[in-house]
Amino acid sequence: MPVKRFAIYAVLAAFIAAMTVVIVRQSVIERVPHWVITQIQDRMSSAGERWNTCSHTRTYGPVYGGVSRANPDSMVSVMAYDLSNGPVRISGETWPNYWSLSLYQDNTDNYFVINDRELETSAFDFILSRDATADPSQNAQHIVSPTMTGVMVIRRFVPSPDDLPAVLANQDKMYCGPAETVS
Amino acid sequence: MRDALRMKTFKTYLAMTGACLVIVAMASILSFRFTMLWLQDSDGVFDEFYTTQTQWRYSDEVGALDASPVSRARVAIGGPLGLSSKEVIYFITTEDTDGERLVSGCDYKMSGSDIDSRWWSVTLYDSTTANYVPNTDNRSSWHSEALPFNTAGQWALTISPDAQPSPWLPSQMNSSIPFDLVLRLYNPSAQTRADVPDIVLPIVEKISCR
Repeated sequence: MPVKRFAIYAVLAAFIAAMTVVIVRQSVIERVPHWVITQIQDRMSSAGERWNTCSHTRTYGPVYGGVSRANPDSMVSVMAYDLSNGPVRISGETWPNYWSLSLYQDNTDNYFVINDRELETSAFDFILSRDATADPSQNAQHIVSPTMTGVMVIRRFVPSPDDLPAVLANQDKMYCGPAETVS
Repeated sequence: MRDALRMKTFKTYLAMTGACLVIVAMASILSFRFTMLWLQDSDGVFDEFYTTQTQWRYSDEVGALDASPVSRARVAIGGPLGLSSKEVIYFITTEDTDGERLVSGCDYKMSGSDIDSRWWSVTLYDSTTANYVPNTDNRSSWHSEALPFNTAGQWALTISPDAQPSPWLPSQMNSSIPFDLVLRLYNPSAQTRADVPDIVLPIVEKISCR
């Protein structure tokens, strides 16, 4: 093979390799958050139900093996949501020390967060849907999710293990599920 | 003669297509592996955080809708489901005040003053697992309502793998394992928010090493 032709092939091969490296690298960077949130959603199952049901941390202090760099001072309620079958309702009571409800779209972006001081009452009632006109309730606060699936996290700051019974009672007052099944 | 020429051309194209596929496959595998290793690097996860005047780094891109793709991917791996800066400001350090890597083989004194926010906390994580360090005290953090403040409004705690008088923040028994500290400010005051990152942050001083 003439040297000139070999050089052309080598340059072409290098160009193809470089382009592939760049495209794959960008794709991986873009996809990683989606893979991570899918893994999280897979773990957020409650009694075998993966979607639209809440599960709660029921012990005080660090829970080993959970989400990377979680905060052990908060006791959380979590829900993986899927809005393909309609809106989802999240309701209950806030927690006095600190309470926040945060929502994450399917690339891990925190598109909504509200804390207890921003609510007018100690009770909360949210309807989560894909369509701003789909709210079946006049009383609940409506939130439009940018993506069909996502994750909801409620954080309660629990300063002391003495607060555990009250936190468990607060968790038990929550409702997470299809919007139309609750009046 | 013409058929032989066609066959030769066909074989050449076939060889070039095969070579291209091999190049694309090899480059894809290598790029995937190296990109994942780069994203998962235990310290690199904080490369997108801003530096401060101290050893602490901070970020306002955790959970942000306008976060860069690399920042979003690294946070997703190193600490997913963080709250946006509207709610929490995150600081992180992997170094002591001398700029040396925090490792479980050393004891440290961490001290500071109150930070104007609704509440704040300091949490210790094993950098290799990005998770808590199992310990007999069932403790991985101290928060602003539990730390004892002296009359001057100062607090101090000891970071060590061995049991210490309270307040003690346990590190790993395996002395070579690095750890990191995350400082979270929940609902920082308007003044704190305006002053970040130039607020008075805790200092981490090495006491001794094994």
